[in-house]
Amino acid sequence: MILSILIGGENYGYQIIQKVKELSGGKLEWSDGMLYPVLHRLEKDGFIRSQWKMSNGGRLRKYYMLTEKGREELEKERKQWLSVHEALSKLWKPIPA
Amino acid sequence: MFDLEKAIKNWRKKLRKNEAMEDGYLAEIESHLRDDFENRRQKGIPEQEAFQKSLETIGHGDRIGAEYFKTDTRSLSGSPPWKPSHFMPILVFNYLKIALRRIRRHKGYSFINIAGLAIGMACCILMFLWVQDELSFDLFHKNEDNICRVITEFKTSAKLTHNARTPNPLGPTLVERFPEVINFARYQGFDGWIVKSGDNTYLNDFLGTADPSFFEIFTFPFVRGDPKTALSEKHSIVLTQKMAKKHFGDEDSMGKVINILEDFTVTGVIEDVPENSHLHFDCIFPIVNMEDFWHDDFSNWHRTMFYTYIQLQKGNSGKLVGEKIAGTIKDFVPRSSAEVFLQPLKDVHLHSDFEADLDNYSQGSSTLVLIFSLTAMAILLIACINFMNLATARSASRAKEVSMRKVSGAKRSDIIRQFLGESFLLSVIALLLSFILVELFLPLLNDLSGKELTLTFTSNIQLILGLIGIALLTGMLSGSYPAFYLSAFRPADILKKHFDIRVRGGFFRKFLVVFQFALTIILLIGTTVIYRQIDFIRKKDLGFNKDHVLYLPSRHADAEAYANDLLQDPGVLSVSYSEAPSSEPWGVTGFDWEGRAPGKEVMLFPVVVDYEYCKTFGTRMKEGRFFSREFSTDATESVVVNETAVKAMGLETPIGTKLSFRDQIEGRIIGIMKDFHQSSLHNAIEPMVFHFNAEDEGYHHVAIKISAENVPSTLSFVESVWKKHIQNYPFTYEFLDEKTDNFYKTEKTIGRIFQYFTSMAILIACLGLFGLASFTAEQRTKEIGIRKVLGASISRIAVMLSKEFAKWVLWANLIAWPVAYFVSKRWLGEFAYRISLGWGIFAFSAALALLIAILTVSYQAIKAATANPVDSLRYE
Repeated sequence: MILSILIGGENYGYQIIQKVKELSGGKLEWSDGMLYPVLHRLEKDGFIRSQWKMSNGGRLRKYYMLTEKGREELEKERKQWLSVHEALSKLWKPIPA
Repeated sequence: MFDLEKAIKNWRKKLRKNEAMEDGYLAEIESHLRDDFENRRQKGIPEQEAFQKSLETIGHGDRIGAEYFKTDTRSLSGSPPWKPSHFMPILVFNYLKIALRRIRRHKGYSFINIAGLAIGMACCILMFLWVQDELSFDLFHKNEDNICRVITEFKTSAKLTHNARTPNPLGPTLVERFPEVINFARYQGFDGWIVKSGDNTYLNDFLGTADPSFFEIFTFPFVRGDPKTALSEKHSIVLTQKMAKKHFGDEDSMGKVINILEDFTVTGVIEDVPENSHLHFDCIFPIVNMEDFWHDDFSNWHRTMFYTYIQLQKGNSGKLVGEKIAGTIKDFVPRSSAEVFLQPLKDVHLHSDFEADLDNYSQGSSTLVLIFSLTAMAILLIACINFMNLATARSASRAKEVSMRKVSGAKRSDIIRQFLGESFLLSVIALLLSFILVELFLPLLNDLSGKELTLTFTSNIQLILGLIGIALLTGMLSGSYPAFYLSAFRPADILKKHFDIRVRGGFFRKFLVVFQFALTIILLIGTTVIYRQIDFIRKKDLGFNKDHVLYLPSRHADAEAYANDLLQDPGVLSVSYSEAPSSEPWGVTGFDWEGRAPGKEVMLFPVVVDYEYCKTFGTRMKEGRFFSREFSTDATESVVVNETAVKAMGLETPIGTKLSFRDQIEGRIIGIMKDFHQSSLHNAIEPMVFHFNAEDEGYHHVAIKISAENVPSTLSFVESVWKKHIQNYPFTYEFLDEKTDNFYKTEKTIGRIFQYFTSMAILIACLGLFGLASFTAEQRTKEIGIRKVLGASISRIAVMLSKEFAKWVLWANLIAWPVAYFVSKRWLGEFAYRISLGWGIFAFSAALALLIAILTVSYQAIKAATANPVDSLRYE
């Protein structure tokens, strides 16, 4: 999910988590802090890259962006999800009333 | 006013504590926190509330840290180290490694610690093995709890006298009359008879004679033959494996012939009698033969040659049955005041101090068993106390190490585990070492005590488990003090330069040392007492002259001719056919004398003598005269008694009183012999009656007094005379002083065993003191350095250091003396003649203990005192 969000462009932690909350309609509930270790892991695995940037307000923020590897990984995941979705839709024919 | 920066700073501080939170991560999360906070502020939420909410949404620091850790770590389990590990074995191995490293670094101390504990445990094990053996006598018989020995008891003057020898018909009568008594067996044992088999002739087999039911009651394991029928034939005999091998080698002895005056056929072979049996014999033949051999009479109530054992029906108490049968003898011998009671088999070895009992048997002593048990425990206690003392004292010097560990992240529980693990390890090593020591020294103990002790896992499982428990307990106790006390310190305090750790518990440690030395002093006193008593015995005037007297069996040679031949040699001073002093006395009751109050019973000890008795043994008369050739009637109409007999009988004018014993002894008293010690000094002097034997009885022994010069040549002369008169028996003899010494064989053995153990105890105590002294000296290095600089002399410093220990030793005496006095008195109570417990003994032991302590401590004291003050003051 994080990778998908980052397709839209680079972003920093706080914004990412807001987006997650937005997209899931408030249904996904992590504690905010738990996001960061995940980002850390993704970076370690080489899917995203980080950079500290100074904002206009004088705040230091860490920005993340997708790497090539990350894009490939995302594509792979997407394909997997779609095939699963296809299989399931066939199975889950509308239940007779 | 809500201070955002301050709040964030606090929060940051808290999160920092987490190991996995690197600064980078922290910054990022802080940034998030600020964003979130601003967000909420824009919505209009008040500052404090906004901050709180932001904190909540971020989540708990530890969990975040855990997640970070998961990604950063390479450990498989993925659980951070601050979470308690559930995987123990790895940690244990780690502690072991550290413990071993530590032991190697402080080899000296570790050695003292381990050695002291190991020696203590080894001594304890050895002594307990001895005690265990003593307590196990006769328990191997299947019917053991139903077997009793019958003892007769009578009042003589005011005292109770006991005789373990019982009237011949008593056994069968008891079985006949009382349904509770289901079986009986009589027994007697003797040696010195010629035993022949084929071409072999032996003189040293110990012969036993008993009723056929003997093997039904006493379940000696049969290797050949059937216990139920083995002795049913009159001329059957059962051998032990040892005797069978001696006479017949490896051949099967069943059916073969052994000759003891008459031919006996071997009908059974039993395993050798184990060492922990009060009965010892090489063979058993049926008791009916004694009618021929001894002219005995089994229906005569006045013949008391045998010991009677009975078997009770299951469920009966020896005491109750004993009360029932008490008056049995009186029913058949109206005159007698003898009562009968039962002694359970398990009490025979340790609790028989009857006035007349088994010959050829050195009894155990329950007092000794008690003393040994207590000593064993005392030694173990000393060793354990030592161990704990040393460990806790040294813990102070490890305070720095502890604080270093804490600072680098060790939790208190880790430190506790480390200390405990270390002391467990040490005590387990000590235990293993003690097993090795026991194996090494067991042969020595067996030699000394004549036992066959072994330490095997199966037979001594209780002992071994007990020791493991003690080792663990000691390890735990000694480890727990430093573990719990030291680990509670705050690292900062310890690392500060001026921290002077006064290890608490100084008083407790002093008490331990005092207690330990008290135990050692008790042992010292005990050894001294034993030594003095044995010395006393050896030097005491026995009332007769035991030097240079040969004692031989007479083998019924012609008395006059034999004596005449012997007297030819100038080395032979006198010859006497009599029972020598120090031969086992046989007491009998049933004496009658003129003026005896009716019902007054006295046990007297008859001694067969001839004219040369006084001359040969150097005994003296108090009143009247001894037998003399000048009076022709002496041999048949006179008797002599000793002073004690006069007292026992209550004679006012003894000389001239007529005395008689059944039909065996009769005569008027012609003289009173001065008291002498017929038997061991354990016993009071017996009341004796000296008489001539009846003409046809003959004499069993001949005593020859020889001159002190040229003993070997006199000895060979005596041998040549023997060979001239006696052809069937080989020349055998004893020296009377050897016979006397034999009484105290047990005491001498005990004395030596005790000496060894006491020296061990002293060694352990010294090891402990040595370690403690060196530690104390180390602690006070700075103080000593300063004193030296200020001009104190070496000797003054050494004295100062030793003084404290000396004080402790003196205190120890206070505790030790009463206990030692009590125990010594009890042991000495077994001797009718004993040393007095004077101040000298106690003072001597105290001085010795003090000397030992000072020597031990002074080495350390001097070493410390001579150290260069520059070094000691630079100690930091």
